Amino acid sequence: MRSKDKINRPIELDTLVIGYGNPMRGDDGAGPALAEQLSERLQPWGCGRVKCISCMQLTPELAGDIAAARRVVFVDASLDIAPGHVAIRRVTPKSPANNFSHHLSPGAMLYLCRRALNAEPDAWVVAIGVESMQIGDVLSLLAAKAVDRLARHLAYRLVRPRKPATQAHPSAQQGRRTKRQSL
Amino acid sequence: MNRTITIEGVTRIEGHACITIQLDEAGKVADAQFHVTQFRGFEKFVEGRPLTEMPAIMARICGICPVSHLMASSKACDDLLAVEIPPNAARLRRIMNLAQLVQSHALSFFHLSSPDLIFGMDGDPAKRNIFGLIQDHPDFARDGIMLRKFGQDIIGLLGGKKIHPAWTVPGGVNAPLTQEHRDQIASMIPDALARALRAAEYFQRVRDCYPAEVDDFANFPTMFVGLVSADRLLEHYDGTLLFSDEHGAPVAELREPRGYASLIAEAVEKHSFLKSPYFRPRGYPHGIYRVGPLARLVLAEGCGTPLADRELDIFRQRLGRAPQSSFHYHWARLIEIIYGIEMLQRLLEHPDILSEHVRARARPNKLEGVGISEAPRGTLIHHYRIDENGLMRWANLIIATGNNNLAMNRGVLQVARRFVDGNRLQEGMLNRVEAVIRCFDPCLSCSTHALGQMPLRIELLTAQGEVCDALQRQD
Repeated sequence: MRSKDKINRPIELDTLVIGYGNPMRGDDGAGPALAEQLSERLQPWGCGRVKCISCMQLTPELAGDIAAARRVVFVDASLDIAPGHVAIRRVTPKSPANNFSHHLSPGAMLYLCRRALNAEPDAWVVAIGVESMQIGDVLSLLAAKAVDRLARHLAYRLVRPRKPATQAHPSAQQGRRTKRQSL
Repeated sequence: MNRTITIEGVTRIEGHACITIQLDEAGKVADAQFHVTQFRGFEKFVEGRPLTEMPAIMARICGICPVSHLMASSKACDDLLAVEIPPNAARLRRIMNLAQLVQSHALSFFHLSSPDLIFGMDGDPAKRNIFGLIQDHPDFARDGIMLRKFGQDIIGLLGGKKIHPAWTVPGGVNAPLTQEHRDQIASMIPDALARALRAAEYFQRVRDCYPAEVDDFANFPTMFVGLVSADRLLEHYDGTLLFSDEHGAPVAELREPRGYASLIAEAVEKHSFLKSPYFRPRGYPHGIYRVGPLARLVLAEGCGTPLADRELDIFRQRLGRAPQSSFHYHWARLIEIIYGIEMLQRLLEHPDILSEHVRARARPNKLEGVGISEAPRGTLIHHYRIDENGLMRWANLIIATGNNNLAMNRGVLQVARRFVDGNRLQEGMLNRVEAVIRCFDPCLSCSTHALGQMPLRIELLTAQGEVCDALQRQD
């Protein structure tokens, strides 16, 4: 869903995946690792309308990429959920309470995108539960497995052919609705 | 009773810093100091690593200007290999360095400093940030976002990623420019140039609204230091390191980077992790100098590109050849953005820009190497010594922000004396103390080689040195 686009910005992407975090702080690199793995998985399929960005932080210039997408998925590491688990939630534009330094929250990015570029893509935050963000450039086993599982799942979701609703079995339809809600 | 004000941490700069302002018995400013309070020590922990790893490791000094460290480090390694890199490798490095210049200047001007110019130094602090800009001036904010994206996208296209690209290597670069990427970059140039010109035009309208700040934002005579090309034009990648007096007249020049220590020495102050380089022949602290966009425009005879030269003419008509107020760094930054975009176009149009001969390979041939380039915020020097096996034995880095340390400290004192009244402390006074630092666009992560965010603390001390009041901001 997009707000009225006063500057008529073309939608160039179906989905933009932004994996962010510091790869030199252990599991904090789960987001960038996911973006890189997903990009590799999608490459053979030639998914030109899906773009994966791997970065350390969310910075204002990403608004330009976000504004060009119909849907954006922010992927970050989290110590607040069980290691190896993945939590997904929808995110909406939110004006930040604090002064800007260099990095922004997904909600603040969307706010910036809406205000400056008149664009408001559907947006989701995918949090990967991790156990350690100590110095080091290797993911823990649980985080690595979660990244791998999530990359496979997202790749499947993004490249699978869309079947007409009438051809799908009712139970499959139900299952797909559930997954779609969770993503 | 004497008091001290502490600003901790300084906001809208890159890194951790603190300012202390010492007041006398009457509540007037007696002294002020700019402290950089973070430390990482890259010079020490690279010892023992192979020289081939240096560009990639040194780029980790900073997430804001990794490309600048890539350039200086790669040039130091070229010197260790004793190779002349292929001409097209130098062109491609220049492209990445200019992209870095554009994106970094856009961050400094639009995101960090322009809120002060648009909402006023005494404006509502809750609005004086990029979100305030977006709320009230979305077109202007959009130009800043898209200019930074322009620079970052070019870095990403060349290096494979926007932060810490491993593309620049000792001996050149590790991949040529493809036709597709050249066309993609070229297609972005007209839009970027239009945005940069719009920003310069906007600045013309607001620059006269701040006469008090022009008068007192680090407005004192200093030397200027920066690279110039062989024909004395604006230069950021390679050339002669020129030293001028306060009038812009050359007093020394360095053609061979390894001789830098004969002209630059480094002092250490107890109150800061940031070193204080100075012009050795004049001694410390009389050898104070400034680097960065203002210094580069003072030193260069011209930019060498038509639109930037047109803007530089206006700059010089208004301010003379060597303006002393650091407030003018903002204007100089905008001129360099225009120059950077024009020069990018020129480089992309070079007939050999797609040449695949982009790397010279050699084993280490010297035990000591120095690389000098211009980071967005000023002159950057990497100096390495290796053993016979190519392992690092010693490193010294002189960072742009460090080069401006003496000037920033004097600027803080000057602006505090003008604007801070210890008997009636107001937020706008303290914002001006921060704003003078922002003119220099310091990158404290680089200057102490530390990972940084941007909190600042201002402390008010008694004559006995006790903290009696403090203002602290977090990022």
